[in-house]
Amino acid sequence: MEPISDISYKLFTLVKDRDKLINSTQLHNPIVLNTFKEVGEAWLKNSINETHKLMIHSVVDYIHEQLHIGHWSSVPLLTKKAFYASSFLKAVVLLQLDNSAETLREALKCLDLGILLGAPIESDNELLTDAAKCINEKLRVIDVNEIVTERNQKRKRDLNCPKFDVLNGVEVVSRSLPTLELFMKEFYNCQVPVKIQDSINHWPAIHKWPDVTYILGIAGNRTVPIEIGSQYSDENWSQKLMPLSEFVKTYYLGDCDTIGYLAQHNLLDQIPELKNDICIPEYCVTSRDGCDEEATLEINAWFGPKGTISSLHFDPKDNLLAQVYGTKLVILFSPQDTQYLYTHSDQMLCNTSQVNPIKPDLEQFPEFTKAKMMKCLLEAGEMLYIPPKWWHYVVALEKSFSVNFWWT
Amino acid sequence: MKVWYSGFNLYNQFHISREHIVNDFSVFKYGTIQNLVFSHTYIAAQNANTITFYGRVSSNLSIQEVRNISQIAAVDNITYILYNDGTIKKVDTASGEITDVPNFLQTENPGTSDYITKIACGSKMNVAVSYNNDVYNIPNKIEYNGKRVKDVASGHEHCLILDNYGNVYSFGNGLRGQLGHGALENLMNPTLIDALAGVKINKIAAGGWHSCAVSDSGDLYTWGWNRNGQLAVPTRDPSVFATPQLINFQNDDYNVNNVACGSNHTVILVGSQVYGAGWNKYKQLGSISNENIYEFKLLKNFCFDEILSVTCGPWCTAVITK
Repeated sequence: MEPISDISYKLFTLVKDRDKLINSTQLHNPIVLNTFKEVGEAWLKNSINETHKLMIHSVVDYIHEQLHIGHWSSVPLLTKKAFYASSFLKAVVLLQLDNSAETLREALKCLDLGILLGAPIESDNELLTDAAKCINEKLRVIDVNEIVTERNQKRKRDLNCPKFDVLNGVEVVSRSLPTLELFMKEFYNCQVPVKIQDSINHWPAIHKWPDVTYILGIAGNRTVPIEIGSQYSDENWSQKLMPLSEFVKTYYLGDCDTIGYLAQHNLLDQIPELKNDICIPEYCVTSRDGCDEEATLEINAWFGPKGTISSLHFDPKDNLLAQVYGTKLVILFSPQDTQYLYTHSDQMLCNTSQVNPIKPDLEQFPEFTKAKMMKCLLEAGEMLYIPPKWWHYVVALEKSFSVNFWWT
Repeated sequence: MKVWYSGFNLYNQFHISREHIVNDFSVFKYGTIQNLVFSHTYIAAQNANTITFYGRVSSNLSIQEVRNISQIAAVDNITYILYNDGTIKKVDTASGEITDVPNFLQTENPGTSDYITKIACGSKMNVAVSYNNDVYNIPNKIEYNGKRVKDVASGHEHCLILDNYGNVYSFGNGLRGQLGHGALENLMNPTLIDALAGVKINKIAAGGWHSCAVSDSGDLYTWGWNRNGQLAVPTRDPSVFATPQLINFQNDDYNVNNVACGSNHTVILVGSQVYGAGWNKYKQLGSISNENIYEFKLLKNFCFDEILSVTCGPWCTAVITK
């Protein structure tokens, strides 16, 4: 291990504008803000001591509480930025005082929380991802073999899922590498789903990611959000933050009774190295007539064992679901069938149906038979276009990694 | 009056201790005090018409009033002062600026007079109750149909009301189950918690995102966010309980006398013993080493002192004895 000053000096040099980092941060509570600045100044003067450690802990914990007051979308941007800046400061303070592997892990977790819950500051918008990469490289000696040799999935998980061929419903049409023009004319403009083949086979991810040791090497030490429970509409569903290696060990390779799913997480922005393994499909640069809004693209990772389920629901955006490895079964309904799909009354689940389309309870939901079901078996290297507001239910038939693109 | 303190002390708010974290219920004798409130960065003590601040506040901030003070409340760097005549002042303890809270009373019958008798403050909402039993989410009057308000408690973004008949009402943000109605919905107006109907409640307390109630027969109910064990329920999953949970401990043979909540911790008084559960990173639960405590643990036995009350700041606990 390198001497103490080394890693904290490396992080020090990563900051583009140290003065802005310390002095542009704002917070509604001036006393806590002063505590942040006091620690920042001590860091710049290289005079960090144990008191500063307690101070920055309390600042991060205080802002962490503020981030949980009110709905996430109503939390002021300045509070999220303050969390970003103070997470960095906490990591460097910890590393200035100690550089044991345990502290490196604590600092990395702190940076990941800053990435997950904070908002980048303008003067240094890649600071936390760069700093996390830097610490991760020192930690990379994670014992991948220890995790991977524990392949003890003895029990086969019964999916209770009928074979694709005997499932009701019309199969979604497939096109091999359609031109952008064809995609727009036949599918995007008239909002019809389509399975696109042969368009992502060149992604490095297609051959790199199936090897879980590759993912663990890059991301094993990183903290990620994991959904626990079979589907988000269930009562006992919850979300936990844990190192990716723990997720892989317990839920992905292990034979845990409960399903764990790294779902709808912006993993590729958290760990930009993984972003190099994919390419953004040209199909998701299209935009609709009369839509003046600036185009936005959101990329999410979906990584999990066999049996992960996304309940029947719809999203407001255009969606391309790209299957990197594993097979997923997708059931679709057009927005016109909404009246037959028994939407949840709870305001938080108002885009979610109560029906399980694989095994519908027709006594409880008799109208469901009137809905026109579509089905798609999505295999490695294929992409499914799901138009806005189309209902979809997704189940992983085996271990799976998907990336989806939402755009407007 | 003695105050036994444990918890966060970075700003020397518990001024007799030089430690940044007080972990042993250190004691200080305050003299006579009517109101003692705890914020993140200071403690405010009110005696008659004087308020003294301890901790990090604007230099020379001290308040000496002509009018009689009825209550004080603190959240972050703001302290609210409620006077006997029902008017409210707002003190920015960081800048020292003191302003009047504009009158927000809405009396339905002209000519009848009304005034504020009680306030409760949270990060997102400040609640006031009037002599005529109207309830305000300051400055708006809200619809309250319960009996006379006995007590009101605010969390970060929710509020509990206890009426004279022992009914509990809740409103505000319910995303973490803190309203106790089963759903995670937000409610504008105080709504009776059905799950506690039929149980006469004597005491209520609101934490950051959790709620507690003690019944006439000494049973404790908790609900809301259990991230750090603050609900003292026997399981760690799920992290949210959206209906009141009856807490069993010590083989059920106990009588809870009082309850208080910090941001993420809960303390109860059982006879002369103080128990606590929840977040303990800043030793808000005393000398126990764990960062989170998932079931009630004995914090201290006060068999030689008469306990007047237990109270919490966001990250601290204080026991007040004679």
